[in-house]
Amino acid sequence: MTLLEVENLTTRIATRGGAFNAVDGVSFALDRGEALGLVGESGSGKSMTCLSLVRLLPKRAAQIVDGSVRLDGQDLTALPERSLRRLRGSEIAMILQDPLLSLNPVFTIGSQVAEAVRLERPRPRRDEVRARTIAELARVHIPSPEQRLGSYPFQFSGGMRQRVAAAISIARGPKLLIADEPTTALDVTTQRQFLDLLTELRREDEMALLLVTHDLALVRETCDRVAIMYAGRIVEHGPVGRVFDAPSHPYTRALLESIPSLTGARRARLTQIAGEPPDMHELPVGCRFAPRCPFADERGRASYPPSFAVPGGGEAACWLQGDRG
Amino acid sequence: MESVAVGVLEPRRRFGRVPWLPLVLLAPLVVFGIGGKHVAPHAVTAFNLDATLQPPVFMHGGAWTHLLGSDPLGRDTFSLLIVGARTSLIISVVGVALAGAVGVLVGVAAGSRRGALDEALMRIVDMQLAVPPILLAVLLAGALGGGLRTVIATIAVAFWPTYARIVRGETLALKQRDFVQLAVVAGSGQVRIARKHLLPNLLSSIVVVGTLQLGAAVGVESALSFLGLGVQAPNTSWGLMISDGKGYLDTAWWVATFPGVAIAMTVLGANLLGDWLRDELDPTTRDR
Amino acid sequence: MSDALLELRGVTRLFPVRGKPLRALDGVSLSVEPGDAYGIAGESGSGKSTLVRLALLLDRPTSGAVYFRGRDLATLDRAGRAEFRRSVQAVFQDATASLNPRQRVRDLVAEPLEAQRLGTRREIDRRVRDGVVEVGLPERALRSFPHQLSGGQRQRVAIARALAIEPSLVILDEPVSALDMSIRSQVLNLLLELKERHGLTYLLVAHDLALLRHVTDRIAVMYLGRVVEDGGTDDVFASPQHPYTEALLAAVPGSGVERSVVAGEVGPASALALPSGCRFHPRCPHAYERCPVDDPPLYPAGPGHVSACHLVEAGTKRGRLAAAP
Repeated sequence: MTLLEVENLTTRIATRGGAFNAVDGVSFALDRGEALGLVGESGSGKSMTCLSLVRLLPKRAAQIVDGSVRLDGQDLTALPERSLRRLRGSEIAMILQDPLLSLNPVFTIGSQVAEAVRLERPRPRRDEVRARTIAELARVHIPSPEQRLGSYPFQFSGGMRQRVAAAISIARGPKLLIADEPTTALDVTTQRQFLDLLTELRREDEMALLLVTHDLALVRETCDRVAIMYAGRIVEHGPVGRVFDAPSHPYTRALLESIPSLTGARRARLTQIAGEPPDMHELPVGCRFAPRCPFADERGRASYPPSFAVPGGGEAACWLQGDRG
Repeated sequence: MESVAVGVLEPRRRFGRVPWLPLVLLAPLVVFGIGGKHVAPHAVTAFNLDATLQPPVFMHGGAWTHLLGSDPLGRDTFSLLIVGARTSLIISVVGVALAGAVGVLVGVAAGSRRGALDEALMRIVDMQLAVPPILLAVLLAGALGGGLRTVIATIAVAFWPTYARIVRGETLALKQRDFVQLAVVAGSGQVRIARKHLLPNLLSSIVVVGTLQLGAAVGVESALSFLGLGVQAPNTSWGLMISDGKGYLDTAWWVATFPGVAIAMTVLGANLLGDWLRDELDPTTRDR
Repeated sequence: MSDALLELRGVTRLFPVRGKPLRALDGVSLSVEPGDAYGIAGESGSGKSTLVRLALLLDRPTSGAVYFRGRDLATLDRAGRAEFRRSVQAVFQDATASLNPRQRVRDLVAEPLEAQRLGTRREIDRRVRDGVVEVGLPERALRSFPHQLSGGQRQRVAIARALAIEPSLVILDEPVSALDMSIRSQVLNLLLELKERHGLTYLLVAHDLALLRHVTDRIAVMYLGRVVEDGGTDDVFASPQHPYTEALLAAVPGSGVERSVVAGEVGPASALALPSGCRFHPRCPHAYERCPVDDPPLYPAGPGHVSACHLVEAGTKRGRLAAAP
């Protein structure tokens, strides 16, 4: 059952060096209850994609110039701000990387969660609000929630803050949760706990998850499908198992090979990727990864490849995949 | 070793954009300040008791001889403005420069050394700040007599603690930054660190504070002269002009108003110039 | 008499926080031999940052001592300190913060040479130029300011600077964690090559266990100011002898373990209110009666392998927690 359908989303941003499409014709779909990982490095456009979905773009600097975002059939890009505001929080929710940014440092945890609870329609009664607040905190496994209502964010550890942020986001049972690098600022052991929590919450409410991250390995554990972004476009997508076991696009393959893992030969020289991500103001003609691709040929350098189907599921935007197909 | 494809931007020429507005606002001050009495149409001492309180040329009863009118003693307002500019310029620039030199030195020393030196210096700063500037002016006037030197001394003594406080605070923050810690690891001594790492990164604060103080200094000079503690006749300054004109605001408004406008233009121009200078001096914002 | 290059013996560093002492480091001992690639694994609150500062003589221990080539850093005279600065350099996590934004690359890299007056201007220029090229940057980068370079390039500048005076020991604090994934392997390979070519010794602090596995020969795992396990990298990864090490390994995405093994988290209050006995016992799945009572010392757990866990002393050797795929 398709919940979210993004088609040809293009977001243009203006910098002093010039304007460019940070999100350049991105399409993907998400079913109810499904988890999609959006993976990319800095500058790939993954965060801009998230902000574009909920239209939280800085007004003067960024604008959606093309494409559509359909939530349950409704095009969010065409909605007036008022209607969109009603959807935010109730239908779509978002968690950011740094819980210190999501939480207001001068208000107590209890008051911030209660604020979200009170937005529920029909509006809950006073006594219900307190009970609901405690329930939400318990749901994200905050120990002794009743005693913690009066605590401030600085008194919590990073992982707990992130869980509180999650509680606030999902208090009204949204259908879609967008998590932008939610665990990057957390320790490894805490990351695990938090992702487990997200999975648990999803199962309870059949909530879809769009997990944006630069960490491929995280996606394997938490998501059903994955989309890899590079220079504003999705270069490969598919079921998590297939993409990890049989990556098609050279960028995906290079990333997987270049990351040290706990298994495999030790102290071997890591496979490295030549060059650097491109300057978005001066994109190459043709495939954007071609300058760094060990398999690049004239086709790749001349024109941007279309997306070809990959056996096992998904697609890859690479001429070589077209050859194989 | 393979070479990494480098997207290195070509650095832009220094001082590329010209800051028109501040220059326009400050140009008169500088021109007049340098030219002084050589540029003025009338001598400042030229009392002309036949032409007292003459209105400016654009008003009824005005004449081209006195472009901006004349004061109670028949002196030409325009000439007074020009010569006064020189006085104000000298006083503010010298005063703030002295305050800055002492303040930055004290601030950097206190911030980088800490310990007893820091404590001692900051107590002096506190004591200094506790003294109201006017009282300071009176005391200094008593010690040095009135006039130019007193005002410069007052400004220097009143303003250096502000510099010291701000610079010390920034120094403390800078010291914690990675690149300063790594300079210690690289074997740099305190003097080298102060010279190469602290001062250049303090520059923009120093400049901004300096331009704000320049404006304030002009104001202080005016106030002191107004009170009779600063510049004395037959010398003139903008503050003195305001003082002389204060009694005539409803009859001969030009005597006090033109110097007031001049002060406002100077303060605004100095602040805008400070903004521009801060952006130009910072390599990260320069290339945008 | 050891010929260790860097040695910590019983190093403790306390910070007074609102009257109570924060035990950032609590009796840490370790020994780095010449030619080692020695890793320190730890999450936030482990004390690794404090350890780095003490090892670089940016701070003094409250008790215990840090030795370089057998000499106590705290007793060094001026000449001794100068020699220390010639022999030990560092690369930090945030490349941007490591470089003075107002200096050009040439001056940045020349700093150690100029500060310690090692050569004429021409000699220094030559060494700087060679150093910059050696880390893979073009010569024209010498005239650039840090903000004109990418993250990976800035880190290369930091590395060139650290190596300019040909130190014996380089301390690396999370050298690649702030870099994009596709760049990390480049910089890691560079670090490994430079170590080989110049016969350097590395002390590498990181939270990424997979990275440590690839780069180090020996590893010490830290938790709340203590070394809880220390041994050869192969041994520690193949057969971890401390529950915290096991938890870290299990938490790494891709380790194949389903649920998070460890509950709870290191928070802002932890180091101020250390648990009684073994500081890991509140989170340890194997804790028993002895654990809250006795603070375990480092028990021998094999050749060159120690662990601060009572189970090791009791002879209960545990195998690896889960088999990797």
